[in-house]
Amino acid sequence: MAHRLQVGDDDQFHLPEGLLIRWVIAAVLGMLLLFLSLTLHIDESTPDLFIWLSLGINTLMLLLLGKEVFWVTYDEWKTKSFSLGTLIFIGVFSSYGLSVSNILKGADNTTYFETSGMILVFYIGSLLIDIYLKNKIGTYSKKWEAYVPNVIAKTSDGAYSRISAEALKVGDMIKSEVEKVIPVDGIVENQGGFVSEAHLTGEPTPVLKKTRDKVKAGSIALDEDIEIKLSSSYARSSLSSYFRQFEWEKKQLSSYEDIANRAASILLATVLVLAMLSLGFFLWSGDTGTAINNFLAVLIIGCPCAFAIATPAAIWISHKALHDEGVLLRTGSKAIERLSEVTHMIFDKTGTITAPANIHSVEVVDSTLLDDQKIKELLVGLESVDEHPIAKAVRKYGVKYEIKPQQITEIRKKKGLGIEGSWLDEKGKEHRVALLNRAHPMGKELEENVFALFLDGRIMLKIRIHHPLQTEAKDLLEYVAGQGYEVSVISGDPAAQDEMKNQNWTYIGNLSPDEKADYVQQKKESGDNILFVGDGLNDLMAMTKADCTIAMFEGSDKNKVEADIVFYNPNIKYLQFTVQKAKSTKKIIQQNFFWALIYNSIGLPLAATGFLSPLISIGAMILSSIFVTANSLRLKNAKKNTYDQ
Amino acid sequence: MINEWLIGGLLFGFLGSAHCVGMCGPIALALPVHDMQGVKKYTGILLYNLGRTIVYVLLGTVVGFFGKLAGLVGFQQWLSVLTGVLIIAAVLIPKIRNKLNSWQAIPSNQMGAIVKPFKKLMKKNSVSALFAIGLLNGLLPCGFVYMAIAAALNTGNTVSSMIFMTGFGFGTMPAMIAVAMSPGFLSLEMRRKIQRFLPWATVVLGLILVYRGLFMMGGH
Repeated sequence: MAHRLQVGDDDQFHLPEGLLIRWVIAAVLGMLLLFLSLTLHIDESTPDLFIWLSLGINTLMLLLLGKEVFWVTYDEWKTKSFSLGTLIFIGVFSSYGLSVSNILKGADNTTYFETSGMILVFYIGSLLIDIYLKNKIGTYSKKWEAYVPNVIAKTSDGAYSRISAEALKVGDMIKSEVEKVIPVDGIVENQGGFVSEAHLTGEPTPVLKKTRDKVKAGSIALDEDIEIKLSSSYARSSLSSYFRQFEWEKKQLSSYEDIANRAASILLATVLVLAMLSLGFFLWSGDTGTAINNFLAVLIIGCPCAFAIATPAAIWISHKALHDEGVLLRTGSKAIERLSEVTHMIFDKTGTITAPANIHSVEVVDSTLLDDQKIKELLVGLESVDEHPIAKAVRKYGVKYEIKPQQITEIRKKKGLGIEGSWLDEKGKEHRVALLNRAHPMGKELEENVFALFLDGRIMLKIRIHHPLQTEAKDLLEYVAGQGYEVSVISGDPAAQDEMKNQNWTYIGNLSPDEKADYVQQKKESGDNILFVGDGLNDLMAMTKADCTIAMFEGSDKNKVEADIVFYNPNIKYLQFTVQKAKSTKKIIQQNFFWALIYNSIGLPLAATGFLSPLISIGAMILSSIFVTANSLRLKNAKKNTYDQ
Repeated sequence: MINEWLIGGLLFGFLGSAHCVGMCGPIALALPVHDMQGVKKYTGILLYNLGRTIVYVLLGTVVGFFGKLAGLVGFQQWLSVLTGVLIIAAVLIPKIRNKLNSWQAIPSNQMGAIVKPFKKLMKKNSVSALFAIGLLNGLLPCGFVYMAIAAALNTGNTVSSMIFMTGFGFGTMPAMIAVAMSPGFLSLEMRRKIQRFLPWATVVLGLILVYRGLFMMGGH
């Protein structure tokens, strides 16, 4: 609606400052105008100078802010989508015009300058608040985007190194891993693969990117590592990616916003009809003064200003409160709405309620070809750049025992199976090195949570991975179960560890990604409202079935861009706080709607029948907006109330 | 009658303007006018001061309106006595005085809502920004302005109240313009001396209001 308002010309979203200054000036003048009018109303002896002063001030205000109202209205007429702007335009200019004509006629000193001025100030004020709130919400999404990832850069000699994306230049080569967001715009240099652009364009079908195809920053490689030649710098790419995402997410309205929009258009139609009816009736009965008064009062009381800020104000404040605890609402009010309606919480075990993986034991199986130390060096070398939790655990192990990584080239991830690469020995002979799990045919003898390092197909070493449960996770599960939620923990691991067994929740192991999704589907069909908390690509299918989803920041990027909510903080205990906040935010939004609606529905008939003067309508309009804002501010002060406090 | 209120306001503002220099001097000094040349600079400084004055006139209109209301319901004498007593109490009762002083002593960069827009506007190199700074400056909590408002409240009608506050605004201008033009105007020591005189002037104003109220009652 307000796209003529200049919202900032660079990467920084900010309030249009020129307009802000003009508004401050107009607001002070408007207050002056209001009290001049009040004085004129109560004091018969007030000199005519006051009327001329009012005319001057109102004219000045129109010069300051009239342009904005004019353009907004012009756009509404051009696009035939009549909305608040048209209403404001009629209110502002008819009250000004009537006042001027009354003065010129000289017979009647009744003026409506304060009405014209105050409508103007409040309308532009609410536009500014709207822009401010939306930009604030935008900056929270942007903060996540502002996190600069490390990327794998390919040097001219073919070696890989992990560097900050900000250090890249146009023309540099990078390798983008499976499940990770591609941080830059570029051109595919290797054979390519499927990428997801779902969160950029809303198109869920993966897109095949072949050699020389362009890839957009923000897409996610799905099945193959993709080598990309940069066509723009990170800063430029991530910015455009942000805007693409912002544009797409802006279109995603929650039911609250949907209700607000629809209610506002119904309200506007009602207001116009009522205003015209009232004007017509009183003109017909011969009372021009009352007719105009009622017409203006209806227009003012009908302004859905409080309505317009009811949702963004509450969402912004809870956004901020949650963000301070490391929780990002990616889908804004949609996330709030969905989370507050959840009845069944399903948790993925590994990575979600477990702490980062660590290496439980390392056992060299075969040291006939190489000595123990060299084998461990191969292991650390193979996992030197990968971002998978296992790779991180291996690197941590390498640092702890001071194991120097061997140089491994052509590292390729084998999705769900492990990782492989090539290694040159001292004689210059090339060997295949692979770290595989039991899902791979070569590792079918392995136990769960055990990986084996193969050298040219020969097993050299076994590592056992341990996923300890987060200390707070068990408390949290007990707590939410006690709160009446149904709780399930599902996992790809075969057997339940003892610590997972509990009568308060269901534990199901040995599930494939498909079976996880089926489980969610089945529960959903039985009438549950599902929250799914997951982290890995293997949860993605289950996530698409759930009503509301939470992704852990440490997990796959694909999950994060699909999820309603992202936890930066690798700790599940913030779930309780988040759910509470969602519930209270929903309550506040409903209250805001209720009060905005009550005030309109009581005020409109009163104004139309002449029981409400334009001045009182202005007061009521101010009060209702203040009420809605103050009510939303209560979210800021709500106690955290997590179960451990 | 109108002239009296205008002259009263001018005198009140002029005599007390050392307080303005002390409190709002730093703002006047920081005005982004130093890069401006000739006419633009003077226009800027003038607009800043006009902005302040307009807010004072606004405050005058507001309290004038309430003063008029009080007059209509026959409460005017009591209002005069009440404000007089309050003003004297504010000077003589240490607890209230300290509280008021502590409000004024808040460094201008911490005054939150009012001051936040200042910072942005201070960087703006335009005369309209200077006008807006003036408007916001006029809203800063200030004991001296409260005293002027108390006097304006007791003028008994909106027009007089507005005129008094207009006079007050213009009365404070010479000192404030001088500060913005030449930073060395009025030494700190000098300001301190004048500041010390202010409480006494305040008490005198309070006494006049009380006396006036009682006199008006007697006259009935």
